[in-house]
This record gives sequence, structure tokens and C-alpha cells, in this order.
Amino acid sequence: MLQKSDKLLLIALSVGLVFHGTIFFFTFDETYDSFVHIFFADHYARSWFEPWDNRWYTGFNVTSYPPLVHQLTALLSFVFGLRIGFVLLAICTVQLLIVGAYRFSKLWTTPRAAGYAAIFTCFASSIIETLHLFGQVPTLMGISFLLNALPEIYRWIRYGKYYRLATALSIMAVGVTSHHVTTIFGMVFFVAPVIGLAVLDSRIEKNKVESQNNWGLSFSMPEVLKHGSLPLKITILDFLKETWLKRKQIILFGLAIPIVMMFVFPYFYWSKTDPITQVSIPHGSRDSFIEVPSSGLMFFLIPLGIDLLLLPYIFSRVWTKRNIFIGLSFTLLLLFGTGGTTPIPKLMLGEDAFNILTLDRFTFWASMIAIPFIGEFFYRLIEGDFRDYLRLKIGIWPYHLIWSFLTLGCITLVIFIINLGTFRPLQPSTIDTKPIIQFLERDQHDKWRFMTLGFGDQMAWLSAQTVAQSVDGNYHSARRLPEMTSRPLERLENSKFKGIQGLGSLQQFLTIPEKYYLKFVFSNDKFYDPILYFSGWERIQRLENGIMVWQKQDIPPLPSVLPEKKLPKIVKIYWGIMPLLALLLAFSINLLFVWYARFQKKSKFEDGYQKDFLTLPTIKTRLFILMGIWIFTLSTIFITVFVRLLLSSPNDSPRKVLTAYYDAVDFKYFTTAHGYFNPKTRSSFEDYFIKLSVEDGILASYANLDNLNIIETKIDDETYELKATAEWITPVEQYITENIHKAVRYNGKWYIEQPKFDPTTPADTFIDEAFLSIYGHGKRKGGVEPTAHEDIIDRPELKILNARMIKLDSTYVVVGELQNIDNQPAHITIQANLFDEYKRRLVSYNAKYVTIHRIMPKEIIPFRIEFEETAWVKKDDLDPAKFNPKEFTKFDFTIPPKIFKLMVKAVVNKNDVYRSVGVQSVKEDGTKIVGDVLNYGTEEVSIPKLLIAFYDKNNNVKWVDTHFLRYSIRQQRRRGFVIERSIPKKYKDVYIGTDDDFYVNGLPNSSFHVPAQTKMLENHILLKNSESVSIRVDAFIGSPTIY
Amino acid sequence: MYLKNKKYLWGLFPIFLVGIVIAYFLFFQRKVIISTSSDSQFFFQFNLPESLYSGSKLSIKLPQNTPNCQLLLNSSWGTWWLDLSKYEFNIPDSVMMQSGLLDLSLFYDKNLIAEAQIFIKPLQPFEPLETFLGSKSIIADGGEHWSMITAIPTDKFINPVYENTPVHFGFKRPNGTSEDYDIPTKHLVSFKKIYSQQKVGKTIISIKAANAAGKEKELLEISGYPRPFNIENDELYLYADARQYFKLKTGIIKDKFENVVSNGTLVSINIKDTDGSNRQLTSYTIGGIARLMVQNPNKAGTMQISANIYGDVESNQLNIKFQETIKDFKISYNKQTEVLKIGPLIGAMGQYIADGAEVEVILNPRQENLKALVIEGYAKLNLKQEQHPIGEMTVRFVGIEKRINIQLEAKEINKNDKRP
Repeated sequence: MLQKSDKLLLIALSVGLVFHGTIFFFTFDETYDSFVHIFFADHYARSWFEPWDNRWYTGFNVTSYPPLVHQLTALLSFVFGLRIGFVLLAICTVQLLIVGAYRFSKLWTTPRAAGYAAIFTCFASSIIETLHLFGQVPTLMGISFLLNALPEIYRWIRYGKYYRLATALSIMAVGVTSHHVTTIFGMVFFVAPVIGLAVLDSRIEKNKVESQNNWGLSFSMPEVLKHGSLPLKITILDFLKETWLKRKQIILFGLAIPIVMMFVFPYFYWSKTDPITQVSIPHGSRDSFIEVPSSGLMFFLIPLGIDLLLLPYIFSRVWTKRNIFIGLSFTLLLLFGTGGTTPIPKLMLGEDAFNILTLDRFTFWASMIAIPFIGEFFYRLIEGDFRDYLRLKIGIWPYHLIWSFLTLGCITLVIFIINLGTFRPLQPSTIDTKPIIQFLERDQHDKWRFMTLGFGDQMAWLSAQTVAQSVDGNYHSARRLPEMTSRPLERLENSKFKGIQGLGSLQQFLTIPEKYYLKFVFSNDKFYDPILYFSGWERIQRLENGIMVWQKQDIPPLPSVLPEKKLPKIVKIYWGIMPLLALLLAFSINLLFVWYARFQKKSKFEDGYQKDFLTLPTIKTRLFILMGIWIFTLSTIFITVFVRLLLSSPNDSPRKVLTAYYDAVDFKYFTTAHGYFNPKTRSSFEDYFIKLSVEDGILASYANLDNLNIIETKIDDETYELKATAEWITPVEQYITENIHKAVRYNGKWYIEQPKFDPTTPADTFIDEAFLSIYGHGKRKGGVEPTAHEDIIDRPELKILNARMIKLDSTYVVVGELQNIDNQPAHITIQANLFDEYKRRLVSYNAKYVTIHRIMPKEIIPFRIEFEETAWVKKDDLDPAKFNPKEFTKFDFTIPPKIFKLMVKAVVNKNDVYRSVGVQSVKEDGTKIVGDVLNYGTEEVSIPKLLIAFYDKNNNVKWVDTHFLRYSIRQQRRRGFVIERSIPKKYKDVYIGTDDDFYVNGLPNSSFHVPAQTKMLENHILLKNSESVSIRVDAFIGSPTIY
Repeated sequence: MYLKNKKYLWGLFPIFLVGIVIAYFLFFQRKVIISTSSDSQFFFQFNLPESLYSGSKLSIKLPQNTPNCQLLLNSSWGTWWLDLSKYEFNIPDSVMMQSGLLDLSLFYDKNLIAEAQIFIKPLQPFEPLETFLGSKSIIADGGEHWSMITAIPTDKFINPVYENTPVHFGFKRPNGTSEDYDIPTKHLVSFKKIYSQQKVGKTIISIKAANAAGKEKELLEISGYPRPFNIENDELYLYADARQYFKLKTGIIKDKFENVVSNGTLVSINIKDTDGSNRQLTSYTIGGIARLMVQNPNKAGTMQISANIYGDVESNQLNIKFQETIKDFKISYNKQTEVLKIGPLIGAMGQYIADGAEVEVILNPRQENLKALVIEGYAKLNLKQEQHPIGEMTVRFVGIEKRINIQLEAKEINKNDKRP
């Protein structure tokens, strides 16, 4: 017959099944990690015994993550499909976890209380967060096996029956194959305290004493209870003696642990043989939770949840003599969980470990340890001695209030966590991956690598459905390219949140994509459009799901044989077999063997475990007072913070209202922004919105506000002048804007005056323009046959007119000019190689955006090539204080380059050839050149880029610079610009290139003939220093009407 | 203990047996018996034709009771050993498909018994002919540039046909003429250079060898470098209002053989403005003509327009004279509202100056440049807001400058009240 407590376990299991089983179907695709695990599962489903996967990071080994969860999902996926398989596995894991928590609780508290703990496990906020917010099923599986193993370890140590060693190790082995980190740290934080407990319990048993008074939770044998009490005293010496007696058990167990660890031997083999030093990725759990409250919420408050309120009770229970070891472990875990709030975790863990570990897992484990005691608390509150005590002392209704308050808090928290993804989306909204999959499968598009931008963790789901390869990936430990390992960058695709390291890395990938065979970019975030456009990418299609497909011309397809880090065959087979074998072994030993044993003598397995009788400590009034104060203080702090957030208004002071205004503009909350304008003078919202909608440009559409500095000047009591210096991040440059705002007081509240808009009306009602539209379809027949030689299209011919290598400070730059001498518009790739005096190649790089990549017939284009190094390789480069995408990591020249070779190649370009934009009113004004950019065509130019070339007296390019205008230019409108006239100060000519150094489409430059320009070009503006300058406009059109 | 009972050791017996078997195969099976006897020789003479067409079947019959001998085949594609089967050597079809010399050597017991040689002849050219054309486009510059059409006629087994097989090339040139050539193959290849003519267009090429025809090929002749051209303007409103546009277009830009340049050819337009500043505008040709809109200057005077294409290709210079759009305007200052009012700004035809035109106001004491935008004929500037000491000022609009002096009591400015 089932015991009372086991009935509670059954209830907990049912509740867990229904609750998590129902909800996880809806939450898992918004979690951070679910899709990563599904991707891994997909890998095993495709090739079980081949751990190499080419799809991420130009290839990586899946032995870098313990495989059990992935392999089980893969097995389930053969029947249910990947997604459902994963969900089913997660539900099973929760069931295991509930059983584990129940059995673990029984070590510390009474069976009935353990039943309560099991029920609490269903709703523990840390578990809900880990599952429904983070999707970390392997972590949960690891901890659930660990918790299940702990009673077995206890019994082995205490009673020494070999069967318990077998069960303990077999369960731990499964834990290792699902999440080895849990087991490794679990050895310290869970296993060691349990071993200590077992030793202690043996000692208490020997003393045969009952000690209700001295031991918070007294441990006694039933027969001892009858015989009155003797004070129990256990000295440290006693404990050590007892440990010595148990040495056989402890040593055997200790020796077996390395063997258990060997179940994931290929993982250790991988980390030993593939030692990639990676820069650690900043993690919110390492923040100071006071400075970054969102991290504190995510990694401390939410996982602890109700534990935080009951902290005094937990401490009163763990800091008792019997529970001293788990108390130590709990306190330590809680301390580590505080992250960077105090310097203690950093000091204790050491700098390196602190920067590698994600500290939220310590909080998670602390909450696991708390489960038995929370369960016990609720047991005592709802049906135990607390109930009677409280009813007696403070009355029935207050008692009802207390338990309702606690239960309600718990439930509210659960609802809050599960819906957090909806309140504050953690991921971009769900993307229909089908059109992308179809695009990749079509026309051999999977012969190139692709990249996603702004997909969030859904990129893993996309990868799981295709064989196409991505340069990016979603499992940072396996990053292999130095461009990524050297930066604290998790994924390229969310690089906009990672400042210079992110965008710098992305820029490198986009500037030299041929190195990675990267041809397609799927963009779900228009923030990245400018960088894609200006580094020479083109839009080819907007898919049905709204994803824009960008491609780079002239990228070679992936070679048929890709480099691969081969593992020995035995390791591959081991990896494929061992995890499931471990599971099978655990199943046999724990269930089949027990069943078999029923037919044999039971004595082999039986020990005194079930006979133990744990009693609860007596009630202490001061604990209640302490808890009352604690809960009251916490609630007060929480409510105060909450109320202050609610009550504070940005209209309190001029500075606040301006900051709020800038924030609103940054997040594009225009209704809110409009609300900050002076109600007396502001126009209606509709009017404001219409005026705003015609303003576009890099700041309005492609920028994030990074920093805001406000200087106040008081004019009178009612008026302030505010000078706002705002720093904006855009994918191409950092902008600093300076604006003067006027704040006025109206009805006791502060407002700012509405900015003025351009009232100009254009001259013409209709403008028309003929434009070039090209379609190139080759000679290919529809079908999958490879391209015939008829279809190989001639490359447009170019001529490099002049180029030179210059030295700036310590770095080298190549500038020059080239012409399209063909009859078709050309899309060009300009590459410069630098050589030292012995003609050894030092470095090569492509022109980034200091050129125009699309060049019309007979057009001439200047260019500048900088040489970048994989950034942040050196330690002192780490963590730059400021973000500046324009800044780049200069190549560190150890040998000075002497000559350079220019390799230019072209293919026919078909779009983005808008040329109806030019400069006028260009004048030299002191050290500046001022003028207007005029758009006289039919498209709105979202981001105008000026390409400014300075020429020497011989009409050769001396220096090339770019300038991005902040605002868009609508049709028949103009915008002013101001640029520096001077070329960089430490400018030094190193080598002037000759025809022998130039190659076009692989042929020497001299094989192309073109009439030379002999006269001074009239479109060069002569400067006072007898040099000349030409200004060209490269127009990025955000939403072209032609497409 | 378990193992004290020795009978468990019998379990190892099968393993022992398996071990012996494996060892036998590993160590004793490798021996090869080499016999050295070479007594029984026999004689054989090939009786084969001198040549055969590729693809024919060949089998060599040997007399009955011939001992086991081997045939060595040596062709241009490789070497084969054939074993005797039923007193017959069947030469594989794949060997017979390759044209060229085929050596046959009969060996018996490592001794050469007989030798023969057959020449395998290629068949007639087979369709489709493999033809190659490059470059695919050349400039129509009267014979300076050329392209080449190449044919490698082969038979159906892809053997190159006989040397000197005539290949017929037919060209239909852009100017309508036809050209025909019969060029025999030499070193497997037949080729013809195609020199450019003077007209832009496609040359359609046909190739035929014996009865085999090839695919239609096409060579594109494109226009050459442009020549100097003309520019002209249209729809001009002659007032320097910095607002209206006039149209500018080039004449049809052609190369030296009167071919219109390709669409998209970039033309740079350089304008020396009436106020001495520069304009750099671009446009590209469609049908040889580049068009663009040019905004009127902001000051009366002469605008010099010229266009060019890099490589000494220039246009004529166009001089356009613009008149003043406004002669004079009034400036007033209201001391109560502290608003500087410029206007009414009336254009040359008595109309309001369009909204958005910029009026420059320079406050002389501090050389501060302020801008006011014209709305409905007036430009207004609130000088209280700006906190500027007012006195002498210059107002500038479309090239007209006016200086006025407004005297006011100096306002007290609380400069110290600055908060960080």
C-alpha cells in the first residue's frame, strides 16, 4: 500500500505532467536554448555516429556538448518529429526531477514534508525559469539524475551494500552524459554534503541517543525514542573517526567517479585536442545586480522567488548540526549566485573561473537545495505544528492570510515567469522558416554559406531544417573562427547588441565574404541594411515571410571537400553508444535488477534506510519574529520600488523630460515623444507624425542611442535651455549630434518645445526619369545541370588608373582609382595584397565602404583599402570602453610592406545604380569644404554617402575619405554637408603602383586599353593648395520602388 | 570465489580454436608457389586487318588446346591485360572505341609469343559539334578587336576526326553581310578569328563539319569609346530662385563609327555656379542621351555648364544667364514680441517667394549665423528665444545683402546659472 507521502508524490507527478506538459508546448519556441538542443538532436538524427557538423561555425564537433538529451530527442524525432520529441523529453525530465526532489528531500525532512517538496518542485520558480524561459533541458536532466543518485550515495556510504554503489554510479553516469557540469559541481555542492550527512548519521546511530534539544532536526532510532533522552555530543574527532571507518565506501566511490566521467570521454578528448582559447562572453549573471537590475531580476530574484521570502527559515534549518554540510553548500551557492554584486564570488572563484562560468547556475542549485526545506515549511504551515501555533497565537484569519499570501506569491511568480516572454519579448517574433528553407534548397543555394541577422535563437531552428551551412552558430563554445573566438560575441547575428566587438566582427565577415564562402544573408532587422549595402551586398528578394535576402556577387561556391577535424573511429562509436548504454545500464540496475531480486533473497539490498525516523525541530518564537520582519522588509522594499516607478514622471525636471524624449525617439514611441512637447504650442499628434514620417535617414531608421549628455542653462524659472549631445550607434559609424532644446514649465510640469520641420515644398508636382533596368538570365536551361560553357559570362573590363600605398602613423593604406571601361555596369571587388621587400605576402584585404561597389560604364571610382586584423586577439585590446564601429583593429605590421598588388574583379551589376544625386554649392570654407547634396531623381535616398577623393597635381588619387550624411534626402530636396578639407596629418607615400602591380579579372592591367585623360578634369574642384577634390555620392535607397 | 571451480575455464576453449584459425590464415596462407618451368612453348601468328573503324567488335580466336596465355593491349588511353576465355580474346568495346594505334602482344609464360598493330580510325563527325567562342563581346572598332570561334569535331566516341576534315563557318554580321569559310582541322582543331566591324550588333555564327552541325553561336559587337558630344538645356525659368529646375540633356553620344554608346554610360556634369561654387552632378545615358534636372542658382549671374566622360571626352560649354528673382525686401523689428520680420519677400513676377527658402541673418557683434525659413512670404526670427545681443546685423537673401542696426537696451543674461 502506498504511504501517505507517496500519495503526495503521485499528486506532484500528475500536476507536473499536466502543468508543464501543457505549457511547454507554447513556451519552448520562445526560450533561449531549446532550438540549439533541437539543432543538436537534428544532427544526431541525420548522422548518429559522425560528430562533425559543417553547418555552424564552418564546422564543429558535437562532442562539445554532452549528448544524452540530444540523442534521445533524435530517437523520439523518428516517430514524433523534432519539436514534439523535444517537448516530450522535457516533460519526462520534469517527472524525473520531481521524483528526484522527493527522494532528495527525504534525506533532510520527514516523508510527508518531502511530499510537499515534490509538489513545490512543480512550481519552483528556478525550474520554471530554466525550462520555460531558458529551455535548458540538459541542465534539468543533469540535476534530476543527480538528485536521484544522492539517496543511493547516502545509502552506500552509510550501509555499504555494493548494490547501492552500483545504483548510485549508474544514475550518476546518466547524469554525466546529459550534463557533465552539473555532475562536476554537484560533487562539491551536493555529493560531498550528502557523504558528510551519511557519516554523521552513522555516528548518531551509534550514539543511540535522542537529542531533541540539541539537534534542530533530531535524528533518532524509534527504539531510542522510547528510552528517554541522552544529550548527544559529536566532536569533530568523532566525525573524523567515523569517516575513517567509512573509508572503504568513500574511497571506492571516489575512485569510481573518474570512471563515471569517462562516459563522456569524447567531450574531454575534444576539449583537450581542440584547445581554442576563447574570449569569454559577458553574461548577465556576472553583472552587479544593483547596477543592472534587469540581470538581478533574471538571474537572482526570479530563480530564487519564494525562497527569498523564506530565507530565514531555510537558514534556520540548514545551519543546524546535522545539516551543517548542506548549509555550507547552500550558503556558498547563494553567495556565488550574487554574481558581480559583491567582489566575494570573484575572489573565491578566481578571475578566470569567474569569467567563464555562468553564475546563475549556482543560484539554480541553491534553489534546488532549498526545495526540501520549503516543502517542509509549507507542510508545517498547512498541516503541521506551525498551523496550530499560528492559529493559537495570532488567530485563524491572520493565519489564513499568511498562507494565502505565500501561496499567492508563489502562483503569481509562476504566471509572471511563464508569460515574461509575452510581456517583454526576449526573441524576435516567430519567423516562418519555410520560405528560407525553400530558398536554400532552390538552385543549389546551399552550395554557399549563409548568415542570418536579427533572428535570435530561431537561427538554430532554421539550421536544424537544412543542410546549408552558416558561418554563424548558436553554440559559442564550439566557435572556431578566430574572428569569433577572439571576441565576446555569441552570435554574429545579434552583433548590434555587442558594440564594436560585434559589429567589427560582422564587418569583417561582410567585407571579405569569399574567405568564408558566404553568399547569402537573411536579414530580419533593417538596422544592418546600411552596412550590407555599403560593403557591396545587394538585395535580391524579399521572401514571403518578410525576410530580406541579400547576396554578394562573385563568391566562389564551397569546395566539395571541407576541412574537418577527424576523430578516431573508436571515439565516434563510443560517443554514439555510451550515453544510451548508460541509460540502459541505469535502467537495468535500478529497475530490472530490483524486479529480479524480488525472486531472490531480499537481504542483499535491504538496509536500515527506511527505518530512520526524522523529527522536526520545536517551534521557536524568535524565528517567527525574524521571518515576519524579513518578509515585511522585503515586501516594503519591493512595493516602494514599484510604487516609485509608477509615480515618477519624466515631466518632473527639464533634464528628465529631455532624456525621456530621447529615449522615446530611440525606441520609436512617437506618441510618448509627442506627449513631452509643450501642450500650449505643440501641433496635433497627427501633424507631428506626418511631418516625422517624411524624415528618414541613418539616424531616424538605423541608429541606436548609446549615450546622452545634457547641459542645462537656466534662462528663467519657467524656461531652460538644454544642450543635448547624443551619441548614436549606427552599423557604419558613430554619430554625435548636438541639439539645443528649450524646456518650459507649463502647469507645474516641464515640457520641451517641439522641433521645427522643413517647410520646403518641391518645385515640380511630377518628376520623371529614365533608368537603367538590367536582367541577366544567361543561357541556362531550367534544370539542375551545371552551367554550360555558353553560360559563362564575360567579366566587365576595368582599368586601374592609379594607386599608391601610403603610411599613416603605423598603419598602411592603399588608395587609388579605377574605371569601368566596359559597356555594362560592374560590381567590383577590390583586393590589395601587401608584400615585404622579399616579396613575401603580408596581408590582403578588400575595400570596405570607402569606395562605390557598383560602377557604371566609363565611370571612375576612387577607393581606399585598410588592412584589418582579426580584432581583439591581444589581451590588452579587451573590453574597449567605447563603442565605435568606425574604429577598426589595424593590422600589426611587424615587417614594413614595400610593394602592393591590386587584384580587381568584376561581374555584371544589375541593381542599385541610382545616380541622380549630386553635390552643389561646393565651396572651400577655411579648412572645410561645405556644400549641399541634391537629389534630382525619383527615389528617396535613405543614406547618402559622400566619397571624397583628393588628387595631387598629376591627377592621381592622394587620399579618399567618406562621409555619411545623417538625414535622408527626399526627391528634389537638398541637405547641407561640411567635411574636412585636409588629408591625414602623418601621411607618407610609400610606393606608387605601376601597371605591373595591377590585375583586373586575373589579367595584367596593361592588357586593357582605354583613352587616357590628358586634361585636368573639370569635375575636380581646385583647392587653394593646388590639389583638387572630387565628391561623389553613393546613395543607399532603403525602400526602392524599382523592386 | 567464482573461478575456483576450474571448469569455467573450458569457456575459453572456443576462443582458443578461433585464435588458431585466424593465425593459420594470417601466417600460413600467404605462400605463393612460383613455378619456373618454361618448356612448353607454342607458336601463334596474328591475322588482323591493318585498320578498323572505332567501335567495331574484335575478338581473336586461338586454336583449341592453347595453353593459358595472356594478351597485352596498349593504346593511347592505357594498357590492359586480357585472359584467355574459351580460347578467345574478346577485346573490350571501350578499347575499340578509342581511335589511334592499338598494340597487341600475346604472352605465354612471360614470353612474348606474337605481336600485332591495328590502327583504329575515327568515324564521321558527330552532332552536336563542340564549339567555343571567346570573347563573347568585342568592341566594333573596325578590326582592332577580334574574337575567335573554335570547333573540335569529334565522332560519336569523342575521337577527334581526321586531320584536315573541313569545317564550315558561316557568319551573319551586324551590317547584314554574310561570310563563309571552310577551314580544315589542324591539330584536331579548326578555328577562325572574327575581326570586328564598324556596326554594333550580333554576329550569328553557324558551324558545320561533314554532316554534323553545331549550336548557334553569337558574338556581340558593342560600341566603342564615346566621342565628344553636345549638351543643351530646356524648360528654363530664368530667375535665380534656387528652387525651380531646368532640364539638361546631352545629344546622342556616339563612338567614332557612329554607334550609340551603351545604356548606362556615365556622364559627369560640371557646373560653375553663379556664386563661384561648384556643382558635380551625374547622369547616365539611355539610348545615348543623358538627361537630368538642374536646380536654378541662388544668385543672379552666369552659370557655366559642361559635361565630360573620363578619357578626354568633353562637351561644349553652355552659359546660362540668370536674373535676380527679388530686388529688395523690408526688415522690421517688433520690440514687444522681439521678433525680427523679414519681408514681404516678393518674387520677380509679384509672387511670394516659395516656403522653405532660407534667409541668412548674421548678428555682427558675435558673428553669429542664424537662419530663418520663409513661410508664406515672411521669414521670422524670434531673437528673444535665441538670447542674442542685438545690434548691427546683416540679412542675406538670394544674393542680396542688407545691413540694419537695431538698438535695444542690453538684456541681462544670467550666465552663472548653469547647472552641470
